[in-house]
Amino acid sequence: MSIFEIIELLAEYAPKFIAAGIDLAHLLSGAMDAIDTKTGKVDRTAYDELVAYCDAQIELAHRNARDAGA
Amino acid sequence: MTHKTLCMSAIAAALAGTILALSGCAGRTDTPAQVMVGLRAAEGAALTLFNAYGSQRPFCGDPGAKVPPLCADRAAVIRGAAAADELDAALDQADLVIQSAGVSDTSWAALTKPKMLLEQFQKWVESVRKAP
Repeated sequence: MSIFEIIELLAEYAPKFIAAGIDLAHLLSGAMDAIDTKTGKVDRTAYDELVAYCDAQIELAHRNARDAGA
Repeated sequence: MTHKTLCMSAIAAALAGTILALSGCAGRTDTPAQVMVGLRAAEGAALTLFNAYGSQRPFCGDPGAKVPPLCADRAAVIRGAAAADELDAALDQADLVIQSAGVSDTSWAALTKPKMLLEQFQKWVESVRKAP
């Protein structure tokens, strides 16, 4: 997946995020920083931050599930 | 203006609702590691939307709850968390394979399952958020 495709993907999500009152900036900057635009190499630190973001969302999903009676 | 800044400007324009002009932002030939970045970004986006839905209180059917989808269905919230776990585990597994196998058929093959699960999760989240 190229940076272009990642941007395209997130841009597709943008209206939904805005409608839901969610800030897309954190996710966007994480994805942008994870691939070097000159070399195409993946920056492991930036990638790990993206993973940490996902982990935090997983944790929130678990919290909601517990609230729901899981 | 750097290449990256140009891309960010395009996104800012997209967010502002204007025409997206992203030509020139295209990257190089994909590698499995690059695809992983895209999958993680998509995972983060889908999870964020799911949590926006799942964080709504009171839950559907509880006193004071709004009508669906402006309330969260308890069963859907529980099911979604399980699906998110499965997706995240598949991505973690693919990540390990790619880190050890690099650009190889093994790495490309490792992406098949998380891609499929991500697509399913995205569709499911969309359906839940639209459910009457």
